[in-house]
Amino acid sequence: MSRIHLLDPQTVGQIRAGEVIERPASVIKELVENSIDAGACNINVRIAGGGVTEIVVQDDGEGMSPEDALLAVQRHATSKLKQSADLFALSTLGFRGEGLASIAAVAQVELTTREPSSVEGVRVHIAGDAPVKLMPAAAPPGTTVIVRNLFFNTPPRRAFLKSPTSEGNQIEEMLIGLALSRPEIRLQFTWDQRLVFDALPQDTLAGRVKAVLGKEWADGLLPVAASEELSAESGIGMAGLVSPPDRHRNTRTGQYFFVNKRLVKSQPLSFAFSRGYGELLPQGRFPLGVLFLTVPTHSVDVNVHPTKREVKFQDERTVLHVLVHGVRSSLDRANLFKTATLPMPSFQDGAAASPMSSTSRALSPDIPVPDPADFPVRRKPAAEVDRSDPPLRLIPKPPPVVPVTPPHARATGVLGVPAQPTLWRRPDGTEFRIVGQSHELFVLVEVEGELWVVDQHASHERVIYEQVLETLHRRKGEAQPLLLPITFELAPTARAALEEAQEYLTALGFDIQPFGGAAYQVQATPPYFRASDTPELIIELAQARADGRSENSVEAKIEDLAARVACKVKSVKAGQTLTPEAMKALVKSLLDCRSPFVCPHGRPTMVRLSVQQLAGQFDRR
Amino acid sequence: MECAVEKEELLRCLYLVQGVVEKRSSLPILSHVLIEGREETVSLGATDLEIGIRQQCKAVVKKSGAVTTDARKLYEIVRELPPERLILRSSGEGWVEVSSGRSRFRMASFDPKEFPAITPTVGTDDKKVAVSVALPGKILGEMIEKTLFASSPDESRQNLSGVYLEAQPTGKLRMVSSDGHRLAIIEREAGIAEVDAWPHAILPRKGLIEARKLLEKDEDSETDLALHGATAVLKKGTTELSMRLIEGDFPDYHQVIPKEKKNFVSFPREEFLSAVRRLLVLTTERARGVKLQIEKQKMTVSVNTPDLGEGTEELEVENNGGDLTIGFNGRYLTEVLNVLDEGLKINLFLKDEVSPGLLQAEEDPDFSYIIMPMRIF
Repeated sequence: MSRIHLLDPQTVGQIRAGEVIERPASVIKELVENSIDAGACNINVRIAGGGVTEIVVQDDGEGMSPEDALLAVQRHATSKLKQSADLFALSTLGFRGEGLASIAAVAQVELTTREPSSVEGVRVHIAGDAPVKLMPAAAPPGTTVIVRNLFFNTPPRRAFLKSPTSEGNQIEEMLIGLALSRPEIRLQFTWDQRLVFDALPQDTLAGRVKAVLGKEWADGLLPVAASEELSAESGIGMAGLVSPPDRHRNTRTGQYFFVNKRLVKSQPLSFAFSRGYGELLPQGRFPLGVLFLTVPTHSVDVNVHPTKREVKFQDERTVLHVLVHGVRSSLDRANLFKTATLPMPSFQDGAAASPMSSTSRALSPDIPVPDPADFPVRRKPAAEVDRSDPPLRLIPKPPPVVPVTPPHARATGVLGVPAQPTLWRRPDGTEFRIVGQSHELFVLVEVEGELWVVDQHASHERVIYEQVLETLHRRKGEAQPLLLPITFELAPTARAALEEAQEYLTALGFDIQPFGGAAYQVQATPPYFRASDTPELIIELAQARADGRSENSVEAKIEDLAARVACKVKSVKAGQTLTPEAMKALVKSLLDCRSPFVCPHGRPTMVRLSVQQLAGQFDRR
Repeated sequence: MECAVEKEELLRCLYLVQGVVEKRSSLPILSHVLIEGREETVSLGATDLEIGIRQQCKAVVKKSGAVTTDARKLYEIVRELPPERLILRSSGEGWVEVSSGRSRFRMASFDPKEFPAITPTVGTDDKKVAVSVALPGKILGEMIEKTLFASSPDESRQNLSGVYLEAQPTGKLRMVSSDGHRLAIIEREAGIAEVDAWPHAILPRKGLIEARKLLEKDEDSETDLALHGATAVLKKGTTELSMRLIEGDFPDYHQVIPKEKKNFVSFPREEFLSAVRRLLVLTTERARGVKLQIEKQKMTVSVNTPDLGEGTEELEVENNGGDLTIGFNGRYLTEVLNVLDEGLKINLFLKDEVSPGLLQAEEDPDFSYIIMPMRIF
């Protein structure tokens, strides 16, 4: 007898089903997607025992005729696809014709359906290899599928399922994704007779996010969209809601991506999403968001995996580019200025000590004061259209306010700083006045109706970062060669990182040459960079590369390098006394930055307090 | 301990001690000055464990002994006292009394036995190696002044964070300093006899800053510089300043001294210095590049800072070479010219726009300054 033989249809069915139906959540996905494809307006999902015992999906879609119902449970039976060419122009979620058949191969399925036009419905019973039973039945228009005893005939797979709670959570996560993809459809989810959510039809994504993810999740999300030019040029659209940079998680959960309204899991998309935030996010933190990409159907392949959770783009680079720039430009336009929240004063709190005792520093007269010329006012290149919208414009004009200080008190600042050199006006008419420095940590700025507290170190780092970044973009860094070069050694992995970064390092003004074996020689550095810090910089770059923290796009590398260089350049430190001129120069150049509100490590550079807020503290309202 | 000392004398001695006293040390006793009265003199001592100073003070000692007290506070009190004789006296355990006329102060004192050694010593190693040179304070001061500025304030390149000292076969004393970008060398006649016995030594910046203070406004007093093992001691009159030498080898600097001295431009020091000073106004901390465009008998010095502005200065020069355009860090130029004497004629030897340049005063070939050009746009 031949040792090789064809498998019987039942085994084939179970193997195939294993690819599509991995766990209860996969059943939900197949069934709800069928309902969506059937044009349902209301979908009701009920599960029991983590979806293993029972899953019910009921919809009010177009239903099926008795003949279709019988065909539907057979493999590769579909209404959604006729020929292979259609595979590349898919507009429906399903198309493989495997869903129902696969479920039926591993569970007991009862399907009841009625077309709105017919008077009588039909019920189909199918379970494993048992013969299909068909009978007429009374039914509302639409289709109801009941799946019981999942994996009843494949005990090994059943053994691999997690606890009912865990499987139920995965179902919930799946339904959240599906609910987000179609705000216009009502989706109800009941778990062991407890209503988890009832997402009513919504006009907006924001409403849907609130309904399924909760108010807290939805609060403060920023709308993002690809610029019209970019969309028109690439044919790729992008829109969605994302978390502001000060809200993030330490995992990539909380990110929902939809490609042509299909929920997908995609590492490249997730990476690109983080890239959009760039330096606004702290290292190792991830943004939250719901993002929809519309890609021409012929340029995306969803048939990569039976569960269709992965997608392949014909032109992945462009898709990622649209995503990164859409997110970034939306964030840049958004008003990220943090408003301080004031607690009601508490009298027990008298012992609150300042975070840093500064008596010793205050005594020493030799703290260097930075040169105001170090903060040149940056002229904006006229060519860049994107920047024509300075973030400051978004600072709301305050309502008329009772004067804070009587006019005579205005001649000198609160801290005895003469007012004149610290006062200036921006082109849009906003007037700024440096009030003074607090605790050698913060610069206080009075702006129409508001008091700004500027973190001197964080904001100077932002200024340097953007200057370094600009040098990198212009590729014209001045270089100061060394008379006595510095030789250092690198591990083999670090060498690769150096080779990779060489181009950008050279653009900045570094000259690092191999010096035989593991040795390298620093022959030149940018004039503002301490030459002896160079080996450490290279080792850091290598470390980030090894940890997989650095991403592969050019822009990401440039930004990462700029942040690391900026970090090492001598900047205004906490605990440094600043002259009024230096404070003014610092705040001025900060406001000229592209993202003035966040330092390159993602921490805020300044917070604001409105006069009303302060007045409220004094019961002056 | 009890002694009587004139206010002006004590004030002068305390002033010299101030620089060494640690201002914010974790070891409180280091902010104190040690006052020892023995026989006919009072000596003041202070140390930060790296450098130490001992200052003899003319006084009448009534009772031998020692006390310590906060150096800064004592200085501030003495400064405000009337110019009269004052009395320092230990009063009970842990206190010292300062009185003058009708003023009386009682200040806390540590146990003088706990005061660390003023002269830093590293173990007992090779005390036998001791060399010394005697030279006028004015000359030594000049040598420090003309090298210290070019040393590296960056402590991560430790061997550059001081001034290298070397005896020359000619009997001259040579000092070299570099921060990695430029290098200053000065040689002065010192009449060193046993040249071979001289070890290579790197004197620390902080010690030299104190030495410079000690030697400033010096007319022609003799000073004595000695090296014992890992310590250098500078003696001038009644003051003894000691410092721990920097460990490590100074880089081989000979290879960076330009051999070829063919092409050079000459110009008066003041004209060039003030031109560069004016131009530096239009630069920032992060871009100090100054461009030198050398043509026939003319040098155009310019800066261009994209977001700030640009400036140009034209100088008449003697050009003993071809045309050349070269960039330098302007601060490196002004710093060397600042320490050179007025009225000098400066020769700047340049090979090409990437090789180090050599700056010398025509009147003083024993001082050289080597500077690496900068790539600017």
